[in-house]
Amino acid sequence: MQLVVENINTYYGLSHILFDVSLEVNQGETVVLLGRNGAGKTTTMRSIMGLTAPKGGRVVFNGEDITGLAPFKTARKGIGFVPEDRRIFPDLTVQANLEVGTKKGTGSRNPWSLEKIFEIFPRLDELSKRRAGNLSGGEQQMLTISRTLMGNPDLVLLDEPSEGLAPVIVKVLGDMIDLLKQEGITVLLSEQNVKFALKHSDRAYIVDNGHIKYHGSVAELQNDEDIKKKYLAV
Amino acid sequence: MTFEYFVFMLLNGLSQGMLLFIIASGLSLVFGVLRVINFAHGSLYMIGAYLAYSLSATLTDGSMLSFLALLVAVPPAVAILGFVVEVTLFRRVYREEHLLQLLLTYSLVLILDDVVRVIWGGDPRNVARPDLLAGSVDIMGLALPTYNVFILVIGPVIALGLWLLLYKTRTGNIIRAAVSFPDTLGALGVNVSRVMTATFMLGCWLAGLGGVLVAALASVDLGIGMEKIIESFAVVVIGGLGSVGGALLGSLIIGVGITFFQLPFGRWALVFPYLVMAAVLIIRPWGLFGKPER
Repeated sequence: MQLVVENINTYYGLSHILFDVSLEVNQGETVVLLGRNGAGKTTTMRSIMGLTAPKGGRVVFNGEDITGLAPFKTARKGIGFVPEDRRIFPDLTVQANLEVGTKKGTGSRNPWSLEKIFEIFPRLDELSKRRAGNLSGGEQQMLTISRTLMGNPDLVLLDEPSEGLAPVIVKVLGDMIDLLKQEGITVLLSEQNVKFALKHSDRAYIVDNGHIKYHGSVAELQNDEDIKKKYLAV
Repeated sequence: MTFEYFVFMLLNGLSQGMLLFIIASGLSLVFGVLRVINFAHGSLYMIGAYLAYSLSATLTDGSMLSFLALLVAVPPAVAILGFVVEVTLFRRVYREEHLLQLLLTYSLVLILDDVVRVIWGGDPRNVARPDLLAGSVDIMGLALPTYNVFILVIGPVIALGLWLLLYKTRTGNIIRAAVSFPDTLGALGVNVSRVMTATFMLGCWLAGLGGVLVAALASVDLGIGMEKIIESFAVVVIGGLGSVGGALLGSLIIGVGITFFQLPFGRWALVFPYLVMAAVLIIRPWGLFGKPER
């Protein structure tokens, strides 16, 4: 197991958000965390990253306990985080955004470079000198994923990447997720767009009201209309 | 007013503005990254001035070289003091409410000002200008002190240096990224608390530099910290909190404005910064170069 989340309990102030959430992700897998708005998807990702440290339970990455580690240390262990609201640095140029994200990976392989990003997203190359705050939503989504990749992560947490994107951009995003798989990068994806998510994932978890309610392979979930109706409002 | 006199006053005002910029840019930079308005910034500036006085007393030759030694030695000393203050005190309040932050920085003003009183006493002090800068320059028949010309040169050098640092280096990009989204920057693997400490030290370095420069410009007493923090605060409100370009414009407006208002209004010219600040707050509350809060 590359990532093991074991019975974590996370709070925002006094409100209890995650209840004994457990999940596992294998090296090279693409796993999706499905659930409605406010179900606890983002909080799960923030807990793994250390942005909102869990009060109980453990997060183990590559055999090492990283529970509650400062986010920059978690990142240096090889976990990349792509936040839901993208959070590109608006006053920096596109290229500067990518450079700020640049760091060495954990292994000897450092596959990501500006050239490689610009090859995958020629649009970012064209816009490289432009102020990032002026980019469209889709362009910003490409930039925020690329910025995280520049840190050469082993595992990427992708928080609701398809939210608010035009269908044509969602397709580009899907290709990107498939590409990460080909590159051997493990992905934990959170999504509300069930059809999109299942198309690009190997396994799925469903979170509802801060509890994990289901996990199984994509094929199993696809045939389970009851579960989909109950938790995903499909 | 003759044209010659106008130019003379303008240069005088600009040199006052440049000195103010060096101090206010530090305040603005620190606010931008740390989101704390450091009222003790004026006290750190004052400590820089007194340190320059003490050090100059041991270097009595009055040469340009020993003055340069002050410029090299004192600002880092103030930056190191800033390091101690940031690590032991400031760091604890970043996530607290503004009231607590204000109480902390204000109590620091009271403590530092009393420390200065204990060490240096209440008598006015000053640093003798080095020979090279002691004279005056003829500006169309009027004598402008060479020292003011020196400040007129140093100010733009610092402004250019800050601009290069913030806009042309990776460090600068990281500082500006920290202004927007510190959490996101941390999740990318950057040790943001180190960025904050370094930015705070840079702010203190600027305060210390302002302190050295003022010590040879005017007399140093226990009131200069409070005087400059109020002016600096006006500057960053006018220019926009966190904007270094705004701090430059705000400082020059206030420096030149006070100088010209002093002619007809005398001491009432000190009201000028507040008038401009009030006007900016009414018309453009986020400052001339600032952005509305998210």
